[in-house]
Amino acid sequence: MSIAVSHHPGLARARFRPVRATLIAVTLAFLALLLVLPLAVVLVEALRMGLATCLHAITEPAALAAIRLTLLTAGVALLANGLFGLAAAWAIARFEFRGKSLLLSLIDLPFAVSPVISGLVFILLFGLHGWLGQWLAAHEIRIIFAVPGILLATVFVTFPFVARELIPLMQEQGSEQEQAALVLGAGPWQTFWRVTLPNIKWGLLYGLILCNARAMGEFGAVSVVSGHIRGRTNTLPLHVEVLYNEYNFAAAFSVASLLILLALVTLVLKTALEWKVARGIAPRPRGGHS
Amino acid sequence: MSIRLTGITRSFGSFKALDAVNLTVEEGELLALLGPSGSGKTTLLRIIAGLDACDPDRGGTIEVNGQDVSAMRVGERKVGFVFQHYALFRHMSVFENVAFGLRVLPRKDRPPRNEIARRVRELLRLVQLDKLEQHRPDQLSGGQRQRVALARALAIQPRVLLLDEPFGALDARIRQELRRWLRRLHDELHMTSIFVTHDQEEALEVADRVVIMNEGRIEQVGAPADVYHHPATPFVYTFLGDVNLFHERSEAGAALVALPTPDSRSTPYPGAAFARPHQVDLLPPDQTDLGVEGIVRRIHAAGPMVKVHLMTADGGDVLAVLTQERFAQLGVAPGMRLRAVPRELRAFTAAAG
Repeated sequence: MSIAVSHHPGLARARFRPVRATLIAVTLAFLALLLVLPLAVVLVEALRMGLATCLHAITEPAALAAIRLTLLTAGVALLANGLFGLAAAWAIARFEFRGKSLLLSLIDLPFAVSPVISGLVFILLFGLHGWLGQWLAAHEIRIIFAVPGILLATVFVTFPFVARELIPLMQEQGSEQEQAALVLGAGPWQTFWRVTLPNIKWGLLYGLILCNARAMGEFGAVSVVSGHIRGRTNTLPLHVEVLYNEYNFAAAFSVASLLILLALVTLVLKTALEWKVARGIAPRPRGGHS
Repeated sequence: MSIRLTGITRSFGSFKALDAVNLTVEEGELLALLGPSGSGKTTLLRIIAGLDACDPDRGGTIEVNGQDVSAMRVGERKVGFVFQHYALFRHMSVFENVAFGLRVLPRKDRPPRNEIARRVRELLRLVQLDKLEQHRPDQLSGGQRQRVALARALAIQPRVLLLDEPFGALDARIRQELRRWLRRLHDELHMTSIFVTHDQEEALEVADRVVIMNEGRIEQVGAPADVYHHPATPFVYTFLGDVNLFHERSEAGAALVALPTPDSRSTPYPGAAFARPHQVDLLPPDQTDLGVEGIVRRIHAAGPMVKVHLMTADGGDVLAVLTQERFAQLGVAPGMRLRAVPRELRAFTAAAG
């Protein structure tokens, strides 16, 4: 009996070998077709007219403006949603209050709503015929078809990332360490900087990386509010679309390859973080009792 | 420092975790709060620390050395608190954990760097961890983490030391060691200390005085021998050790109670009557009419004493603890008929119960 049992895993492996091979083959084929091939196409198309054309496409003034706007948008989204995510996660993980589950669902709203609708919402609010449109026009404040609208739409679309990352983390860690800090005489700020923040920093960074990737890559919501004014309200994804619609394929793919580069950097950072966190949590060999 | 609690009530919704608790802790004593889970002992400890507050509309007060600290923030109370799961700062070394309380002091009160280092090292020597000061908490064993938590609590030179289930998360052998070590440490430092436990053996062995709690109220306060030998309520009696419980209504209880026991004081026993297993003798039925008859069901002979479980005619269970000699002399075997005769019975009036 014991012999049969000890041989079982080996038998199982042998019997399932074709299954394993098939599964891996299918997965790889799928990945190649849907992920690797498109990426390769973008890079090949970008370089088809030569490296010089490619470089020119991403250094001409409109492209540089798009890069600047994208960086600004991402920066604002990171700052706003970093702070909001931290506040929301703290409130939800540490306190009991009425409407907590409603707040939790609301945080997920941007994930549930189509990005186009997210953009439209701001047009309905701030557009010329929107609720606040007349008042804004009277005070010469431009939000729609201008940079503030792009910032608003981006912040809206990306606000779940940090909060979603931190809430479960903070709930799991509990508040005992913070209580310990308070008993030891630390003030609220000292407790935050010395205990809370160091404990969530990797989660926070992870959330910010995802938030950044989405903020730089967002198309739908931004497209609705931007107005596509070249050199003024085009972010990188919008710039790619404009170039493509002008049949300027080489330039479109050159700028697109910048976004792909961003995706690859995000992926590497994300993997590195996951690896680091996993290593930090895994139990290490312990010293004996002394 | 002495601590005086008056009229402490704490409710969570409709559940009363603490119900008008009064307690005085003497200067320099080691006090155990003992009770089953949900008895309110941890809540009481947290209220003393300032991590929780009593119901404001019930007017409870906490005095430390005669000074009312109810309104003081947790950080101002200068209490050392050791959390049940230690709550060590995971991202800091052992050294930094212990130094934390000194580093967060306002600049004018903060000792210089080398003074902090000196005090931290002194504490680490006290808890025998001076070789591990650069380790992280997750590289330590449970017992070592416990001692880091203790050193960290002591670093702020607290007026009182509060420990929540200090040995709860450790395995049996380490518990024994640490418990004796804590007692020795307390004898060295003489700091007023309160620890929470649900383990009666631990409380009775370590503490100067034991506070037995049940359902948010204090059942009895006293020295270990005092509460063990003179339990004030049936709850205390049953909580502090194995017990045979007889009810007058039951046949076995009636038999016991009606018949004179060897040290017969012929007291009537209203309500429940109790006898500890070591107070119950076993005799062959032909030698006595006292006590209650039963059949031997189970025997645990591994240990200095032998535990014998009897089942009485009405299905009741009686546990007797015999010496190995007595056990051999009687030749106890499963299925044998014996009479269980309590040498001593303890009864509580219905009002007390």
